[in-house]
Amino acid sequence: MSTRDNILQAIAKNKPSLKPAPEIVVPSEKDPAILLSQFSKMIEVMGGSFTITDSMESIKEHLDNDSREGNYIVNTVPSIGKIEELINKESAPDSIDNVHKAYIKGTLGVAENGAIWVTESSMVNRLLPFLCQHLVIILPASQIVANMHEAYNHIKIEEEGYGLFIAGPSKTADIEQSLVVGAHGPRSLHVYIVSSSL
Amino acid sequence: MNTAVKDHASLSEVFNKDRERVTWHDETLWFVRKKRDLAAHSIPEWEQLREYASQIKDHSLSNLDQYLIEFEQRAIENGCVVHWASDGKEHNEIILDLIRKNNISQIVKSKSMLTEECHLNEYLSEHNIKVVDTDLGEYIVQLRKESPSHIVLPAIHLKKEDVSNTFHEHLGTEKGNKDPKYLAGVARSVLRQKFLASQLAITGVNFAVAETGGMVVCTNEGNADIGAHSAGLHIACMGIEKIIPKAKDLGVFLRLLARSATGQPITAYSSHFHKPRPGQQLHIVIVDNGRTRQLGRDDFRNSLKCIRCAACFNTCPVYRRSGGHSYHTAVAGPIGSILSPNLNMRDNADLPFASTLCGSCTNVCPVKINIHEQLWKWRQVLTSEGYTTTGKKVGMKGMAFVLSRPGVYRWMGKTGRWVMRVFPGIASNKKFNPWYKQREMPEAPKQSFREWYLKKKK
Repeated sequence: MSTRDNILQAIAKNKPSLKPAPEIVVPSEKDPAILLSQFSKMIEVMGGSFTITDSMESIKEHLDNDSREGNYIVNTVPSIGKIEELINKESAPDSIDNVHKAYIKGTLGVAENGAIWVTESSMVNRLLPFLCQHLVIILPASQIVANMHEAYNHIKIEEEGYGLFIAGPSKTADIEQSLVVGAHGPRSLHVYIVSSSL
Repeated sequence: MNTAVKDHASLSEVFNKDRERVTWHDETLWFVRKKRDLAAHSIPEWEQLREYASQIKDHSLSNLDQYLIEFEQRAIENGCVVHWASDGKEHNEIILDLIRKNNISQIVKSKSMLTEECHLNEYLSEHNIKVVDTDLGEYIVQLRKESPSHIVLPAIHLKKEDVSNTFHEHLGTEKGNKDPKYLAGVARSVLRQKFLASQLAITGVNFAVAETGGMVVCTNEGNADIGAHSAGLHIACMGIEKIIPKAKDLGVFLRLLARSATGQPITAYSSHFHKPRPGQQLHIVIVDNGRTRQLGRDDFRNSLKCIRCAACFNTCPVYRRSGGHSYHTAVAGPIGSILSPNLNMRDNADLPFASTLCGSCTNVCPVKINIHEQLWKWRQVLTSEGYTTTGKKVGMKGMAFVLSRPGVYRWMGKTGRWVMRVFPGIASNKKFNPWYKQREMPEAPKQSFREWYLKKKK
């Protein structure tokens, strides 16, 4: 008998009688103004920064300014500028290592913790949101939900090969509990919350 | 680890030699507990969430084989390769085999308590294979050739000066520069090169979702992701008990995990892995290593619900004042003390006794494990299996004899009081009277309360 069969057999023998799964009922705030306020506050609590805007033009301007400064900026959001063609799903890590700033689109925001669900197709390459020095996420304000229960009601985690909740820049407190922002991943996270749809 | 395993009492005696340091360690961990409290109290439905999490895990364990089969099926459909390991040895061999098959030499690893439990790094080292731990705390202790002392905060026992000295010795940082930003910055550069060059990334699994075949990995640093997304081979290691039934269950667990662990509402990264990226291999190793045995123990099955948050560590007065290394196991603290005896009763018989049974651990556990009750129950099991020390056995039997015979009890009291008055040296001899190690002896009264009361009655 294989290890697999041994383990499964041992479990079948040792497991207790079937207990029912609970029905999860948790109250959720629905007011968009309250959600927006809570979400933006939590972005800051998690070490990020935000701008609320109704103008894709203003974001486009920021992107243009960034690019003019001479740093390697990668944009993956069609509505705010030219897409970086050099980076795709199969790009090697070395080609992403020198990205200074990356603009990617967020799918959903969670008000209770400032987290944003980002899919593999949005980020184009799995390393992009991690190796860039600074990360910028564009998120529609209409896509902010109250809590994680709501979030999982709205997303299908297996739809793509990889997806994640990003909440703030990379950080660590492993050296005598002193918070250091920018552990291995981005040193900053800025979120543009857009009140019109993209 | 050598075969002469010292026990918690003697190891913590060493730890306690530096009283200032112990107080600092105590306060640091209590501060983390306070952050957990702030986070928990900010959620009105916190207790309800704990109950949901507990029930989801109870349900999951009662249907574990079916969920594992479902998980494996989905994972294979997603393009993953699934391995099963009965114990640590088999787990290590599977990984070594994959390393050899793929001609791998550059390996990075993010936090996995399971790989600590299986002693993976030591095993690979014996085969001349080096693994770099990339979580900053684990990287630090790896350089120091120590084991992590806390499952969430691996270097909590170290001060800035210690890290500075270690980095100066191994990475050539400025001597005496203990600025955390500077030190973390150096680690960032060094480890980025390791990530980019990595051929194998080993990660743990916080939650394995049966419904989708996906694995969730939570970090603040992003190190699990950078490794997994750079390396051509990603191996995710999980114990069988990491299974949860459905994606929506993650809503409950991700609300509880970081708040219980560090007081954060969520970690910076909560990554959901389903498929390997183009051209990559994604392998999953599902490990038993005593978990099916624990599953069969009615009294201790609940311990398998653990989500490795370490809230119990942070609140435990004994852990705070003895440190993780006093527990001589991969997982220390209260939860370690009810998991480890299942792995090896002889070596870990001391651990359930490293407790005052105050119950604080049970109180903070996000999945409602009755830790303090299990600590007490393990004491019964270990004693009847013959694993308590002779001293303790004789002492307990002696105490039972005296306390159940009022005449003997009174005579012992009278003699004891007489000895304390006439031969005070005996009572203040720490070898003979362990009670005196941390306490003053009271003044021995001339008569007992009973004697006084009877006299007064006349």
